[in-house]
Amino acid sequence: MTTTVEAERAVQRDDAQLPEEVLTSRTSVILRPLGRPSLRYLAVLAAALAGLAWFAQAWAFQLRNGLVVTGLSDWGTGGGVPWGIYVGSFIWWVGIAHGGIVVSAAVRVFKIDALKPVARLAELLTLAALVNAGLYIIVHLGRPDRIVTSILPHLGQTIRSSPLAWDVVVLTLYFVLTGTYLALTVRHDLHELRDRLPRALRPFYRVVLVGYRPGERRKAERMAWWLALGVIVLAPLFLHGGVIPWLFAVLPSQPGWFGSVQGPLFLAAALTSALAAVTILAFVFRRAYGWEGIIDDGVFRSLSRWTGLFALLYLWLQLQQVVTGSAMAPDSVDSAVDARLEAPLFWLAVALLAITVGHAGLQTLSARLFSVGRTAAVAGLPVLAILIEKTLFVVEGPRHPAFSLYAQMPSSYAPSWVELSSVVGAFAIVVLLFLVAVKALPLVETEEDEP
Amino acid sequence: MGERREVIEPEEPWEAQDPGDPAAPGQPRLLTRREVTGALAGCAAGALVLGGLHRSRFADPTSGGTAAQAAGDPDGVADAEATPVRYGMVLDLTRCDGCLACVEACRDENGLSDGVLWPYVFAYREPDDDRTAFLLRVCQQCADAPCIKVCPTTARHRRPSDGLVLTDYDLCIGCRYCEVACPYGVNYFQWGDPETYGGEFEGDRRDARGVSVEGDPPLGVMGKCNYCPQRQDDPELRGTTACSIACTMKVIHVGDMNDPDSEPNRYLAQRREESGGSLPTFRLLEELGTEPNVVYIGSPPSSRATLVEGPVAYEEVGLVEERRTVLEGPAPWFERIGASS
Amino acid sequence: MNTPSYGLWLLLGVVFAPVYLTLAGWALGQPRQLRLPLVGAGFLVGLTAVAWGGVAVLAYLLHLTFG
Repeated sequence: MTTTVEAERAVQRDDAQLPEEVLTSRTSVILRPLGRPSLRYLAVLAAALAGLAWFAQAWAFQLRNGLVVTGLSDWGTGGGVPWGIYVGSFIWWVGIAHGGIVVSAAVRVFKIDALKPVARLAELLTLAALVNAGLYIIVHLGRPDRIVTSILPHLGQTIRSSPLAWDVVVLTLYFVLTGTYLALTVRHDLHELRDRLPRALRPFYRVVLVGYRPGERRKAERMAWWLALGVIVLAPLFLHGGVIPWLFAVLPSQPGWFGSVQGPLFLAAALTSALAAVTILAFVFRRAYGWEGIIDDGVFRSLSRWTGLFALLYLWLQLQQVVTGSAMAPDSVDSAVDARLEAPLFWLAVALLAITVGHAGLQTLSARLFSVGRTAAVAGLPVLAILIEKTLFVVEGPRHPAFSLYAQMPSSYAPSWVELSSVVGAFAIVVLLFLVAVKALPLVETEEDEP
Repeated sequence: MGERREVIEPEEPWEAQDPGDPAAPGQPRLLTRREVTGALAGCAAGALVLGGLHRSRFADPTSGGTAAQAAGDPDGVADAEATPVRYGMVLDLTRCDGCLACVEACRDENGLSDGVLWPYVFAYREPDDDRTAFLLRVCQQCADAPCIKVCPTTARHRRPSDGLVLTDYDLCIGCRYCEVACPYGVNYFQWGDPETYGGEFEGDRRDARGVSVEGDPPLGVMGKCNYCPQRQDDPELRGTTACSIACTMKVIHVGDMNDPDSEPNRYLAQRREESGGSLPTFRLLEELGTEPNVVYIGSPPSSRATLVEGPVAYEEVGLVEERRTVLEGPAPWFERIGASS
Repeated sequence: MNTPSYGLWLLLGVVFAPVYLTLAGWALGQPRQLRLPLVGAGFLVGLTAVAWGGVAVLAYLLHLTFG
């Protein structure tokens, strides 16, 4: 986070690129970031590149030496867990990717106009988050060089029974649908603003504007509506409430994973972290480009309420799992649930989400208690909480298996520096993607009635 | 779950995929499997959304379809004759004395890395019983194997000639989904370069089909107890495994569980007869529906069983019991700089 | 777990249903036209190729560098 003074200085610097008279219009405010990069932009760029470089060398270290450089091991007699923070982060990023469709569907299908200013930001976050989800699958593998040649030729067969094959398909689908949604909704803007966009990116614009006709906006809007409708069903119900939790929920070998509550539980976690991530993103852009008039307080009020609601749902679903898993459950389920209740990290996650719920509730009680800055700060809590809880969920499964003799063997897991470096690298990738996007596209949809 | 129990031996299409299968003579499985071409990837990628998922695209015999599909079985309901031979074991736990000779012999024959225990012997006690009991855990060669189902590449597959569940080391991407899906914990991943971590397998790993399935797996792929396919492919050694030969107590009986005349089935019948029809037998975690092809003679550990020290410690015979303790990666460059200054 | 192709029907029949709905909406919805829906379908196919093509390039680079 930077101070307001710095932000305003940066805004003035960027504004300097555009003629005085257009600065008054809303479109020009939206186009502010397109100017020549500020010092602060370059500083963030350098930091992100450094983060990515750090991750790259850590990954190269893993590729040279094998996954032995992680904190992972075999479960059972191996005394460890074969899936750790890579899989936890994979789930986390797919969850965050749900911000885009939720906000877009809220705007287009449910007509919640308050969130319209952050719709495109959220869509871009979805693309970046899905890139990271895919990257985490690759980083997790022992032989990532085979990912295409081993998976695609056998998909017709593996799709019949492998939840991981389902995941690959549905993740691709979500990525493709989100990209198409972005393209359809940005074409009009790119065409209208073509003279003010950077020349260097013309070949890219030409691809996005393929077959563009000036009168197409009404049809494009309707197609975006249909896409939003399709994806608001697909992504929450079948991706994070479907094939992602099914990776775990279908396996009776790990009682902590098995069960039908995982779908709803994963979804509630995804929506909580996704809307919280959009809140942080909205705050950063509002601060950086002086967009108080574009991303107004209403956006944060709305996001805070929804984040709180989904966090509450998440806590409620955990309660379901704990009660049914401990009252009269079979031994193996009972011990998995007991282990969760004994894990301090589980309670940390619950506490962070409880604060999220409480904060949202308080802000709803009285308008005087509302603060944009605090809303953004509190939004960091559920984002962190879900990463912790999802990784814990992944790790705890094989530590408390149906084969109860194994549960008596010593086992532990702590992510290594290589694994932790990936978290930095993934964050850097999101920042980099936004740094590119901010110079290439208007990050807020322009209004139809603009002059 | 109740329904599942009634269905015995559902021959599933993803389990039959061998070029040597009589149902699909001469299918060049290996050639297509190891094809590394960007063109194939590109075509498949483009087809993914536009109906590319339809199995017919990949069921083409020339692009890695299953034997069942190639044999004109478009619905994938393969015939039960696809693998008439189904290797498994009869393990007489009443005879096991926990000497770990089987674990050692397997390590030596398959050149396993430190801490990789394809067979593992649990020593445990039941409450109110002072005697130490043993449970020999090997791959259960499940008829309804979760590891085969969850594999996103078909690397984990069933070999038609004898029904053995094996990993194609050339195809495996090392996602470790089979490892978490298996309730028995028999999978051991190759976390580091086997040479650095005690692995000593010397062979070329290829079985009679030419598929890479034998011995300690190479870096980055999954291995597990495989019933020594190098022996099953050899007419002289067929029906033995490294562990069964090493076991002087005659606990381990390997063979075709579908053949009533096979050695394990004859042994089981003989033991039943000796006991006057009251021989206790069980299959491990049978309630999970995996339909294991390993029959144990003895009693399963109860949920109150507690692990105890066996008569022979793994360390005593040069084995590593807890693999995590030897999975230490090399020091990163920044630590080496710190150490040298 | 005994139905061999349940995954196929689960995906193509259930999970993909919203996509079919979207495509039908594109083609049949107002204002009725086929040009932009075809452009949209082009994006779907193109992005799929970009996604998997990108992964294929990365995998090939890994093969060359560390294989």
